[in-house]
Amino acid sequence: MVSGSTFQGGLFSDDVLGKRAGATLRLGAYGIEAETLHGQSFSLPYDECQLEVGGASGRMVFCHGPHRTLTLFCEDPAFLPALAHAGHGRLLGQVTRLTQDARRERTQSLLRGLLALLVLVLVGYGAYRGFAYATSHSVEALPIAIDEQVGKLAMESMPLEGPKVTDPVLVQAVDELVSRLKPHAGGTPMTFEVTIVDAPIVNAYCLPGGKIVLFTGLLKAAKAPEQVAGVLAHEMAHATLRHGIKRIANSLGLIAGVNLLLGDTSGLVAVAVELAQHGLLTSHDREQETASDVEAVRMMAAAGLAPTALADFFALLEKDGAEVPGAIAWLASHPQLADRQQEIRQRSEKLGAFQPRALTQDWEQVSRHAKQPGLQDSKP
Amino acid sequence: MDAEIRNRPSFANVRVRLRAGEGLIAEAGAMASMSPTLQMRARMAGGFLSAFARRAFGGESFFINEFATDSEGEVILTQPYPGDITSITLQGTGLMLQPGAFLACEPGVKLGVGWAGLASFVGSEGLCRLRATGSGQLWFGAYGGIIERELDGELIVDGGHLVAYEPTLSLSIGLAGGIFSSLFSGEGLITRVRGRGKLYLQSRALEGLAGWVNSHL
Repeated sequence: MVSGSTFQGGLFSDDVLGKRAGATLRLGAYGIEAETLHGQSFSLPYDECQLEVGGASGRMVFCHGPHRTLTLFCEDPAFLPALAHAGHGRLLGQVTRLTQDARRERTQSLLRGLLALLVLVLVGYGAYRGFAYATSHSVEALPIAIDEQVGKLAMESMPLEGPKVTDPVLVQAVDELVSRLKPHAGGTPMTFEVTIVDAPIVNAYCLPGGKIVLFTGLLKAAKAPEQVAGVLAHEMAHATLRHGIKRIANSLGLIAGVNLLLGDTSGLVAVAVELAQHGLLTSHDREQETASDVEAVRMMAAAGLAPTALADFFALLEKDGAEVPGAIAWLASHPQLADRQQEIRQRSEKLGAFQPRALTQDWEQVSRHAKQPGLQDSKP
Repeated sequence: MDAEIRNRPSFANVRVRLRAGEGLIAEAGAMASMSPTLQMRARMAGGFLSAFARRAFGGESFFINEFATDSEGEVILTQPYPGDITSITLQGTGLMLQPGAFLACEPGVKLGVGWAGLASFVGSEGLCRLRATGSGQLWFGAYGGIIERELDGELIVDGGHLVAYEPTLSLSIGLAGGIFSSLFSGEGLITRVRGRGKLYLQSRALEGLAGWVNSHL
């Protein structure tokens, strides 16, 4: 029934000028008939036909005659199925074998491709992790002076969002908290310097080297000094664990990263300034946030302050977040608060009892001054 | 139409004389000079999608130039790099061209894009090939001399040397030897060409020149 179908293809033959030509192929009753554009006719009986699939597309069907003196070829997808039925199915066996081979080859190609893709992804991921591990560990070997230099440059590059606060009530209150926590900070000793900024933002951040920025919005939102101490301990931990400098090292390009491994820190400083200008230096990943929470819990307990105060502050923001002006800043830079509260409380329980030592500051006075820095308190 | 390839092989160019009613299609930017009696019109080859495929995947220009005349005139076509130019006449057959090789063709030749496969991409031979089919004369160029081979079997070609081949040939990419030999012999990946058909190689590879120059910078 298929006999008579025509397909566009071509042929190889020594009888054709140039030994090849485009041709119209027709499946006749006894064989494939081919006619070139110049009118030359050829015929290849089905019984003498050797089929093969290949070519640039992998889908070209070749029909070779005896001794390959005549080869007909066609890329039409309908050609091979038509050959199966041509000449009362004389080529059915060959067509079936070729179809099965092609299907097997396609499956193998797909598997090879997927395997190659998997290897590529694994190699890429391995290289990325290896590079991040190497740069992160080379950071550990750098002196703290580098952190301080990077922190100083970053501080100069970042806008403060408000005026610096010099109100002695606020400065002394924050100093007392930092002084209480500082002796219990881990790692290499560093100088912590807190800048209080008058802005309705419930947030604080720490730059490499221990430069901390604390907004009056956070002091206003906190219900107890221990909650502010918890936040400060968390930010100090970012500095002692050198999260900022590791973040910069991970953002380095390959060349700057290799230079860092060789001890050249110029790329590190350049990237720090770049990240600081885009406000990216103070955001940390989940792993770093958790590590800072854990370290803050340890520092708070060692300093005689309730280690769960940080979790209480998180709970306060989560509960009243919508009512606390500026709370969105903290929520945006410190995600997944619920999980972290749970973890802080679990860690605190594991630490067991601690020796509480009360703070001397008048928190109501601090809160009043946070709302209005420079406030003149009426004498009793 | 009369055509002559001159200044072969290093600085080959094609001079095509067109008579009234004849036309020529050439790669954008290939025209070095033309008679004032010729009209040149830029157009997308085969519509927007085809032209986009030619540009994005075939390594050719988005536009092609069509030359035509009501009287007669000549146009001289060149390629951007030094090397030979050759021509073939398609008679209902086809030719796969490496990106950048196409120079010009008669209007009876259709230009499309054929998928070359991921292996080709890995072997630095590109994801796609320009596919010329139909009837008419086709000119293409190479960097260096052009070596024409009539194949009935298998041939191993180093990366960057394959210029054009008939679609009856199949290509696969492989290592030049074992992993050690491939890395240190300077051959890296090779192209294995199998089947029956004609292929055209270039005696120099642009990547080889770029690598050599780069090593001296």
